[in-house]
Amino acid sequence: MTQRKRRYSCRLNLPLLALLAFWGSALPPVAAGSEPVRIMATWGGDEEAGFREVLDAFTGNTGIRYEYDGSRNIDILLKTRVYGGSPPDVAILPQFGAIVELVRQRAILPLSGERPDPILTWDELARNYDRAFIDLGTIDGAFYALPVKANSKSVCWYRPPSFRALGIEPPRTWQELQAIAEAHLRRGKAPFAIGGADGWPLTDWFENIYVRVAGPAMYRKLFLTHEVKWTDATVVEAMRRLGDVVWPEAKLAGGAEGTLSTGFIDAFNAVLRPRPAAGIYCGGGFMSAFAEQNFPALQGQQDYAFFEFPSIDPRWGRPVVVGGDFAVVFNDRPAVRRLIGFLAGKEASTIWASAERGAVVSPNRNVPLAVYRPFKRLEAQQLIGAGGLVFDGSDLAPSAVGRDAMVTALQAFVEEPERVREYLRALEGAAARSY
Amino acid sequence: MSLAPPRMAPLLHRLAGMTRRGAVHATLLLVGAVWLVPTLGLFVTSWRPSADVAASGWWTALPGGTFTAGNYREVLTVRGFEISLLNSVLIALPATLLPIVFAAPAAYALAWHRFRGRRFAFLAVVALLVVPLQLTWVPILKLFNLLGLTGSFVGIWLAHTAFGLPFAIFLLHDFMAELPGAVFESARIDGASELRLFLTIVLPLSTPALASLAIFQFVWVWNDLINALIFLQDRGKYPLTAAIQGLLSSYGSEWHLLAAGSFVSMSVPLLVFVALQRHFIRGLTAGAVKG
Repeated sequence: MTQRKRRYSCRLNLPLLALLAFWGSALPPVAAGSEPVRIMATWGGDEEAGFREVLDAFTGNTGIRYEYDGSRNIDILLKTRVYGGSPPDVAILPQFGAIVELVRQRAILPLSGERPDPILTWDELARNYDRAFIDLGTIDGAFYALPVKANSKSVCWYRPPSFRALGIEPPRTWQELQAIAEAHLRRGKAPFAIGGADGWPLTDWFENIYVRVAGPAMYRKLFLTHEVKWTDATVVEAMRRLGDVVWPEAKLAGGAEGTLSTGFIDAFNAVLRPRPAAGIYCGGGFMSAFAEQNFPALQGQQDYAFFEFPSIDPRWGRPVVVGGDFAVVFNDRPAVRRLIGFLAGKEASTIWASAERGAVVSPNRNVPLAVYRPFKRLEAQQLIGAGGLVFDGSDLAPSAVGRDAMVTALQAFVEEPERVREYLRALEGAAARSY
Repeated sequence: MSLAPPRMAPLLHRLAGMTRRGAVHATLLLVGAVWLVPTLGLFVTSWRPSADVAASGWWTALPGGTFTAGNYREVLTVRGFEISLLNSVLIALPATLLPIVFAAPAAYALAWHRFRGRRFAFLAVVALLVVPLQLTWVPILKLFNLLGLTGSFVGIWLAHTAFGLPFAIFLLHDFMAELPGAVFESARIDGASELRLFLTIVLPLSTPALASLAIFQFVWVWNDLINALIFLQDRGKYPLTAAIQGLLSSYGSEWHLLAAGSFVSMSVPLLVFVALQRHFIRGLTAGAVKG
């Protein structure tokens, strides 16, 4: 018996030895020369092509190589790599809540602030960015999050020929929007398509309404600091306005149920396709890229266009809800500093804004408007316009609120609007636990 | 496998048998068809222009829709396609072989050798089956960073081997435990060493189980995306799944490319399955009935 056991253990060693031999031969060679800058972002396809134009220009200018890694799983990948001890040099993130979390973990470095050798100076920032972006990126007195890409969430897409057929014009006020909805209903058409299966089209609707009902200061207090409760009268008022859109459910393409099972792209397509199921899709300015891709036969401006999200209270006018992507830095190396300096400057932003594929709207205000293609130019104009900027509230709030509780409440509201106070109480409960 | 049919069945009996079989076949066909519908939809979508995919459902395209090979062209010409295909093979082959190399002797020992702690060892292996993969990422990444294995193929092989071993041992153990012990006894009486016994009797008898395990493991590793992204961290070493994901924008709106890419990626495991199919069918019932 003992003899057999001993032989058995000898046998186990054979594959182990083979493995070790394999291992030795397969070890990667030690990297020679300068280390490339490692960048992670969420972009692929055309978006990646546009960003690579910027990065290639960086390599051309400096001779510093880069490694780009784009993945839609960036949340989970970045968390794992931060905890596991091998973060990239630079990450570009769309979710502001995640950035605040990284600051609290001391995982990312301040770009500007109380340090002798800032990566970016306050002057440099002030020259290139609107005050709203600088304030946003400043956490605990230091600047961490460099905005590299922005998009307006305060645009509503429609088809001008369909509007003409109904004898209506793009609305400027909430009353006009209501009149347009009625005009659709009288002809048996649904005015709105909302991709309620994805949560954020609903949160975007709410944010646009809330900032127009309560103003930017209250908006900040509701989403960023939670000084305003979700049971506040202003929130109830905003929900009532949202009720104008989702109730009765004949106003929604597919009704309440259809809305909650439709993704945002399908909802947008429903407005643009040959036999439209709805007249208006409110959402991102970036949707023009999908229109070009999915409906190459349609002419931008003529066959489809957008109007700005209408005003509600004349006191607040039409502030712009902005979404964006921010670069954060994990490792302080000279090559990384140069990349951040490059990304913050006019040259990189202009290359990106005028890229052949995957052009973006730059938050850098020194990018000449002339370099944009038509829809992007309108969007960029809106962003630097006088309306005032607020950042996407669901991205400002902790993800337990912005991604979960808020979405749950709004989806429930689409289904049964009359129970709104109940939903808001639940949402407030989640918020009280999260800030 | 099948029982010999009764030689002189009465007519009635045979008729009843045929109807029964017919019902079974019809049910199987129906289940198979329902099972295939999503794949069919994906296949149709993969040949449609993106504008059509956005405008109407795939089922409307079947009679006289427009079709294009453009999606496949775009997938096959994506930046670094060949390299990622090669990477997939470089990752999947060792990551399929290694768990089998370790699991086969382990399963044999757990099934046929009486030693102290055997039950406990087997229980521990089975218990490891329920550990969620996500739980292991951070500790393994820390370990790999320490050992310099992050970003190397060796690292991803080891990770896949470790993830695959519990199931591999479990499956092979159940199969090997059903092998006739008398054969082993007579081999020992004839003077065969343990190594020889294992190599010339146990392994050949276990071919069906080894083949089905190989398929399971190969498909799992081939389709893996997240482990490669976490442990390789380098575009130049990413497998096909990562290259296909790279085609998608952050909104994941490119259904036409996703569909075509899925079929390209699927074709390799499909070939493996067809090649090993004969063994696979037998392997599925491995350990299910007493031989």
